[in-house]
Amino acid sequence: MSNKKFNKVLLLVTAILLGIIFITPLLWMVYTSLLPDEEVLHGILSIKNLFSIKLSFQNYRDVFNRVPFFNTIGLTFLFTGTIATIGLFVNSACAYAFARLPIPGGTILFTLITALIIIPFETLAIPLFLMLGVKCNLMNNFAGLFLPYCAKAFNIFFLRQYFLLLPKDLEEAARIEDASWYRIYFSIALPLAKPAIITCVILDFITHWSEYLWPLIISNKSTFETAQIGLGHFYTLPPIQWGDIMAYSVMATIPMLLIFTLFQRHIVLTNATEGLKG
Amino acid sequence: MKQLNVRSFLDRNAGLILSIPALFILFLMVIVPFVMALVTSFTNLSVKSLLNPNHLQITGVSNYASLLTDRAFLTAIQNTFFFTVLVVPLQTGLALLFAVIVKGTALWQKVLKTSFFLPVITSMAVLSVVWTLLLNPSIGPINTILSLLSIEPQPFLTHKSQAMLCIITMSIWQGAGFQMMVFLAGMQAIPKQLYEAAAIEHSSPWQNFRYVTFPLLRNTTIFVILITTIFAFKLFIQPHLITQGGPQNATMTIILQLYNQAFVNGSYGKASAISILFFVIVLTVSLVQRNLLPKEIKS
Amino acid sequence: MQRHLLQLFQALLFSLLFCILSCQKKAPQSVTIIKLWAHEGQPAEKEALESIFSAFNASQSNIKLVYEFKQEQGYGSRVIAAALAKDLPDIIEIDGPYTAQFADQGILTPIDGLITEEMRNDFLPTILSQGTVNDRLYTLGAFESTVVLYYSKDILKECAIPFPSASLDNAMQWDLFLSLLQNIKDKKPGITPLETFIPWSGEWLTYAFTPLIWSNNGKILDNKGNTVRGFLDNQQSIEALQQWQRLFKEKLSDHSLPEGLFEQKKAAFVWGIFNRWPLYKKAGLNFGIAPLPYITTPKSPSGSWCWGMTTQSKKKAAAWEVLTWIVSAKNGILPLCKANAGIPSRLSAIELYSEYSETRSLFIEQLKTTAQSRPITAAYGTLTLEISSLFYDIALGATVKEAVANTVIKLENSIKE
Repeated sequence: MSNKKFNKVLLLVTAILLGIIFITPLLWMVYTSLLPDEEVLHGILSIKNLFSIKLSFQNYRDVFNRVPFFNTIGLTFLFTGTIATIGLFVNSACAYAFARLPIPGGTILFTLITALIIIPFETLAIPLFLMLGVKCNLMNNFAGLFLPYCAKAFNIFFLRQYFLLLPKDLEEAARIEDASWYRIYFSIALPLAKPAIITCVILDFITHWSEYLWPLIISNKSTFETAQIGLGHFYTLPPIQWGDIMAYSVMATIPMLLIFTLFQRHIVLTNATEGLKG
Repeated sequence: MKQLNVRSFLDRNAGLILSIPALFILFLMVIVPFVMALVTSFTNLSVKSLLNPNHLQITGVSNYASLLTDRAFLTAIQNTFFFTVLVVPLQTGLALLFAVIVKGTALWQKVLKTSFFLPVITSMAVLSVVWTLLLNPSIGPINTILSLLSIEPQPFLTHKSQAMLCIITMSIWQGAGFQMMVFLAGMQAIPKQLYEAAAIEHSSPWQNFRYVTFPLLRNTTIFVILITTIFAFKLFIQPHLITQGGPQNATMTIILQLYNQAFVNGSYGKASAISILFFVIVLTVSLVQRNLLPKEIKS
Repeated sequence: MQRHLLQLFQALLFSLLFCILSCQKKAPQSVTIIKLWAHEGQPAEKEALESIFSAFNASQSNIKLVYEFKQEQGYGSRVIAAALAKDLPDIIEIDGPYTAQFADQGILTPIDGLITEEMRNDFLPTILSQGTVNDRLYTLGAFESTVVLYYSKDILKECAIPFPSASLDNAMQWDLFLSLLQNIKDKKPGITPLETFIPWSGEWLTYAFTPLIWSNNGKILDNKGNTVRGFLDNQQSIEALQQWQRLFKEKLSDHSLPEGLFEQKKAAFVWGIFNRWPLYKKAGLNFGIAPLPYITTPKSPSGSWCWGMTTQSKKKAAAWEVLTWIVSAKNGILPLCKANAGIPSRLSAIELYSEYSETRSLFIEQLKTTAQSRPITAAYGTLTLEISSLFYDIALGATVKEAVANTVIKLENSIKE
């Protein structure tokens, strides 16, 4: 019995230790972002005189003074928002069509779409650069930034699976009442698939907020950078000030954190059967 | 009357019309570039030949031939495999352990779950920068802690044999939370009765895991391993930001080579050959895994 | 928060204004606009360049110089992307050894038709050789760089070692130098005899230590920049690398210690770059300088960021006028060198910069007589990566012959293209 208890305590202690190890780097980021410049150089030893150091938001102010941060974060929001919004309709419409409606050559087409999932974006990066950046002259252009991501084979596949699992009753009832397929897709299927769609939107948001390779390729102006690329440049921008760099990092993280926390609750609350209950 | 015709036409072809935007974009943004990559890889397309088309030549397989004898590229492949071979099992194992620990509703479990997951929603670029500070040989906290324990300060990212290990550690730390979530979702699907039955037979937590949880998570595990492997192969942000592939190529990866060939050297033909080779590697690995994994896990 | 909203508003206003202004571009004007890209270095250097550029704009009214600072990280790929988008400025700053790559890619245009013989002769020879590809001159730099030996007078005194001469004529022969280091190591345990900054790796190793190969009459690359075989792996080069390895084998230097040993008085000598001088001065160290040691003939490194004209510039004459300003002794070179501690690239500028010619005349002497430019090849990026790897591996204890043979195989492929 005591052995069992011991085991439990051991597990708890290990778990908490792991948790601390996991969270420390992020805490360090926040801590450093609040430190005055001269204290950053003391590293961890600065903790010793933690109570005499004045933590401040000066580093955050410095970031705004040194680079056009509003610009950067605005572009990032626009980038992720556009992809998520366009993707929401484009992908779900396609998925719905493949789940419910007759399409000439549908099976072959869908197999093809599924096959596209395996092609990594890295393979497409160079031709996309030559096509969009060089031929269409979309360097440093918003269209060039989001176009490659408007449709996503994986999301189509994922949403179709979800649509297939939904009961057909509501749609059939609407069909009898002479509603068009577009109406049914928009006002019945789409709301029913909310959990799956929100999942797609969150995944898209996280992926594209952190997107690195393509924004790096398609921009060569410091005024046209997403937060990730901006950070990458900011952290080698002389003079190197770690406090400022960490402040930038914190600010580049907060939007993602917020949106995730907000939407996550949504996922838990919505339920696939809600539509039928009403 | 005419309106009705239009309506019925629209309704009859609803499937096509609803799917056409996505199909069109996929065609333009995936299929066309893919074919272009394939074609470009057989030419010497470069900045030079783009600015002066006279230099453009079809060079056959010479890009591939020179890559496969290029030691720098082979080093990149080797590093990428090394990274993958270490990250995939360690990360998956750790994630499974976490999932078992935080499966439950106690407050400490919720807090732990969040702290494991936080690195996932912090972007890789941010984390790379944060770890560069943590591992900084002179002002980084890790070296300070080491010196308090009277261990010699380590060069970490500036040393050939430590740099990749640092990147591996940080990548495992970053991604484990995501796999943990996938495992948790998989565990929710396991019927409670199975655990109840096990409880009647007084099985230990380990036995629970060994004979109930783990076997029933087989499909989840396969999925996690597959996804992690492909992600691992794409290793780019960390070396690009932290080490630029150095010191001495120790953290050079396939995608970093691709990036450097294309956007630093301006050799698009050669870079396209790398991207096609990369595709072949990813394809092969996922096919092999799909066929091999179930057997291994059964035994 | 309010201030930031204000900033946002301002930004919007400015962009609106910009739109209006750019619509009115067609209005007749006699001002030629010259665009320029510079790399964003240390703040002092950036400020100096900014004031050089605005002084140019103030000095005349025909040309308006519009400049942009681009970050050093990813600078090359920005240039390439701009070239493909036909969006290159008229003048770009580039890192010296990459001149050949940009010339070969058709991004830089030769300027030897524009430079006068007199002006040419005023430049340090290394600036000209760095900027010359296939007998054509593409770039000019405003400052030069070099590496010398710094020594701590205190430590040498404690070891009863006479201070080495600062004159190039009395440069130390390698064996003598090593015996000095050995002497220090025996007498002062805990002191690193020579600081070499190996953890910097990258370009530093190629730049700072290739001169040792040259000083044994070895070479890395043939003159045409086509092959390393028979050069990097010939007897002289291998011998030089073996000598270099002795530093680490005999524990006369350390390949893993972080930089800053000399400042902490833990190193007796430094194989140090030119701009360590102001750093050590500021730290109040009691130090002296000596020429780099050599094996059979004294050699030293050189090279710096420099300026060239792009093929997409349609206003060559005006661009040349700007370039001349940037590399002119009084208006360009002096303000820049005072900011970044660089060595003036022109003889006339050196004369004007008395501090340099007095206390640091060794730097200039080295550049005039023993300095060589880094190898000129369109594949410099690959070359330097492999060469620095080679130095690093050898420092860590690799067998020299094997390591060299490996590097030759790696490089043969990529350099020929």
